[in-house]
Order: sequence, then C-alpha cells, then structure tokens
Amino acid sequence: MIITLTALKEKLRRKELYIVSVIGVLILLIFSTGTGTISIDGKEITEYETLAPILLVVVNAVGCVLSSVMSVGTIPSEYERKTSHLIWIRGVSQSRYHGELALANVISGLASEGILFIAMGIFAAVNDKTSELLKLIPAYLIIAVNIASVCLVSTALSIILPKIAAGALSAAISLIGIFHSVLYTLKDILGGFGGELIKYTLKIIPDLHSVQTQAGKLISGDNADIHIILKGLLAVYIFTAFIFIFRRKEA
Amino acid sequence: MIKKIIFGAVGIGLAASVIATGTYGLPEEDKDIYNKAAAISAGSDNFGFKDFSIENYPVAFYDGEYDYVVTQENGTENITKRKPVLNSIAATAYPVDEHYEVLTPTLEKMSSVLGVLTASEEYGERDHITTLWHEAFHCWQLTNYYDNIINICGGTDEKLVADKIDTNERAAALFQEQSELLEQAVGASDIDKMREYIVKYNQLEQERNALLSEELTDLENYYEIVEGSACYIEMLVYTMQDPENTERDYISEISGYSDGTGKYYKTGMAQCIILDKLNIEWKDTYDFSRPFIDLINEELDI
Repeated sequence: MIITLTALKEKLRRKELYIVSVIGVLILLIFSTGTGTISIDGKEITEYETLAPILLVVVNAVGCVLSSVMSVGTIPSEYERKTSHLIWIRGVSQSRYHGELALANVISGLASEGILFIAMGIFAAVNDKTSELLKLIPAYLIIAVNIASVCLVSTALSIILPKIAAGALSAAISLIGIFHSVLYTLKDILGGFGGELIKYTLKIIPDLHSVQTQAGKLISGDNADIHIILKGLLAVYIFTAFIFIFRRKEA
Repeated sequence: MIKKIIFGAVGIGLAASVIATGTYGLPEEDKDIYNKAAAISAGSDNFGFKDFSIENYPVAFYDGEYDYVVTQENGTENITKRKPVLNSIAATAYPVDEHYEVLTPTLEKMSSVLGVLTASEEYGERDHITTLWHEAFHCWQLTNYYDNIINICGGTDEKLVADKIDTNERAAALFQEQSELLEQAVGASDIDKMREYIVKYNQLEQERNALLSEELTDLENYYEIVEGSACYIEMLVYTMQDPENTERDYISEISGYSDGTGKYYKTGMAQCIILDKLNIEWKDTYDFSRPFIDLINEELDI
C-alpha cells in the first residue's frame, strides 16, 4: 500500500485533486443555485426532488471526465520520472506496481466524487431537504461504480499507449459511456453500416448512463435495477484484470 | 496462486449474477401491449371490415437486436425469436414469406426514438396499441386488396408530394379549405348541412385538380384511401381504449395543412367518418379501388 499512499501524496502535492474538484463543484453550483437554469418544456426546474436526479447526471458526467483526466497521467508520469526503477530494485512486480497506482487513481476519483456529493448535500440542506441526505449515500456508491470503471480503464490504457493516445481514448470511452443511451437511439435511427458500427462500439463500452440512472431512481424513491449495477461492476472487474494483464516494455 | 483463483472466482460469480438478473425475450410491457391490442378485437366487430382482426397477423417486436414474433394459433399465443427482418426502427406492414406481418419496435425503442425526433411528445402504451392496429389494417388491405391498391397510382412517392404538391401555394390553400370543410361535415348536425359542405368541397376539388396532374391526384387518392382508412382504424382503437379520456383529438386534427403525406391520413379518416354517418354498412363492400369522396357523393346524391 506504500506505493498507493505515495501516489496519493503526489496527487495532493501537485494539487490535481483540488483543482479538478473545484472545477466540478463550480459546475455543480452553477446548476444548483439558479446561476444556470435547467428547463423542461420551457418550464424552469427549481424543486429539489426534480432537480436532484438531473444534478446526478451532472455529477456523473463531471466525475467521470475528471477521473479520466486524473488517472491517465499517473503511470506515464511515474515512468517519466524513473520512479519505476526504484520499485524494480525492491523486487516489486509490475502488476503489483500498476495495481497500486490504479488503486491510488480510484481512491482520488472517489474522493472527487465525494466532494461533488458533499456539494449536492449542501444543496439539499439549503433546500430544507435534510431528510433526503441519507439517500445520497447509496447514490454515491452506485456512481462510484462508474468512477472506478473510468479510473481503471484510463489507467489500463495508459500502461500500453502513449499518454496522449491513452488520454484521447479514455476521454472517448467516458463520453460514449455517458451518452450511451442517446447513442443507442442514434444507432436505431441511423441503421445500416453506421448503426452497426455504433452498436458494436456500445457493446464494448460500459453504459455509464444507465448505472447513473439507477442512482437517480434511488433518490426519487424508486427501486434500482440490480442487473445494470452488476453489469457496471463486471466492467470494473474486467478493467481491473486489464491492469494486471497489461505490461509496459520499459519495465 | 490462491489470489488468482479468488480473483477468477469473483469474476465468474459476477458474470453469473449478471446473467441471472438479466431479462431476456420480449419485454413484459410489450407482451402486455399485444394482449391489450388483441383484447380490443373482441368488442370491435372487425370495425366493419370483413374478417379484419389484429390476431390474424403476426406482430414482430424489434428490440434493437432481434424480432420477437407474436402469433395466435387456435387461441394460443406463441412468441418466437428470429433475426430482424428490417434491422431498423420502423412500424410497418411487411411481406414475410407468403404473408404480411406487423413489424414494430418495442415500446421502449419507439418512445426513445420519437423522444429524440419529436423532442417533447410522449409516446406511450395507448399510442403503441393504436400503431399495432394501424399496421394490422395495412396487412389486411394488402392481403385482400393488393391489386386494387397498386392500381390506384402504382406506388408511393413522398418526394413527389414534397416537390410538386407542397410547393404549389394555391393547391395548398385549397387543400386547407377542403380540410376545414371536411371537419365541418364530420361535425354537421344534419344531412343537408353535410351536403352543403361536401358540395363546396367538390367545387374546390375541381379547381384543385386543374392545378395538379392526374399522376399527383392519383397519388393523393392513394394516401387518402390506404393511409386514411388505417388512420380511421387508429382513431377508433384509440377511442375504444378509454372513451372518456381522449387526450389526442383526432377530429380537431382534420383541418390544416402540413407538408408531407400526413395531411392525407387525416382527410382520408374524415371521409371514413362521414361515410359511417351516411351508411354504416359502406365497409361491407368497399374494395379500396375508389376514392372515399365518390362514395360520399353517391350517398348524398350529389
């Protein structure tokens, strides 16, 4: 765990976590304080019950993109700074090294998500909805599945690809995952080769939107679909396996 | 080694849980929609069209991956899975092997696509049931009157409507007036009043036909006959489902002008409603070879 702790300290030293969290909270506050408005059918949405599931969409999107940005540079930076050599001479295996760095990424991603949820909690409290605060805990845990998924896939890609390519690909995976249901509908409308291309792309990219929708259901008092959450966890498992399987040549 | 075994076991457990908790086959809501649609048959008296019933035609629900085909055999419902016939989102009557089938997306697919295409309009169970009946009526038309339907104009051409009819301002204005007259005739309190509206309609029709070629008026007739009568069935099914709650008012949609072929669905439907008022048995012998307005004129001695 020493490698994980060191990587986390490095993230704190470089203020990565603070910067991305502040950006995220600012975006969330814009939507929750009326500075930016959300309208449905021309009607402005201000009630907590209606706005909370929509804010979850923002938390999920911002959380996933920020986690991807934070995770993709961790392993390449370690190799650039030659820290890896200090690890090898201590007899640590590459898979353990990558695994611990991935864990540091997941922890920092979940911490960012936690900060975003604290902002949501403050929004609930300001709206006299303190009774709704407990519902944020299972919602946090469900969206944590997405955050872990994005952190792990970004980390895995950064092991085998150059930093820029890994960054672009993991950002694309995050965005496709967030807009999974919209793209699935687009596939239905397009049909033909374009539709087939989208269909097979969506088959291999986790549906971050559906998982987030389950968190929204819990906040609205509905039952979540356990199948969708389990599919999210399976994606986390597969990406974890990638971390242990993928090898870097410089090692 | 033990760590690897535990890791592998976790993976197998997760995969098994995903499989165990998934739903497969035709979604329950679509089974429910089919059953509700089929239940309408019992009180419909074939809507006056001989042997017409949704239960006579297979209904294939497309879920984005497969078609789930619901058929009725000796009162028993069967659902079979097959590769999609069309592999795209479309509600239509389509020839499969030696018969016609209703091809439709599942409700979830249909509402998500319409949600994107029409932004705010909600498409629900009631709408989907009416869609199934609309397409089933096309199956019935094509099964029994294929030659007559093809002879109306030889086939559909939406581009021709867009390029040659919608761009003709005078023809569009006349159509608008005619549609208003049809709506008034539908609501007319007595036959004399109805005749008055239809006489005016015919006068405008003559003027309008002089502006359009025979090819174009045949095309308009095709849409009014084939789609108008299916829209009429749709309206009846929609109303039958909940007579007290008619959120969608088909009658008020008769008048107006919109580009494309949708306007003919409404005017064709209006003419079917007028025929119902004049002689409810008109459907006994109708064979889709003549425009509805000809039958109306005969009934009114015009």
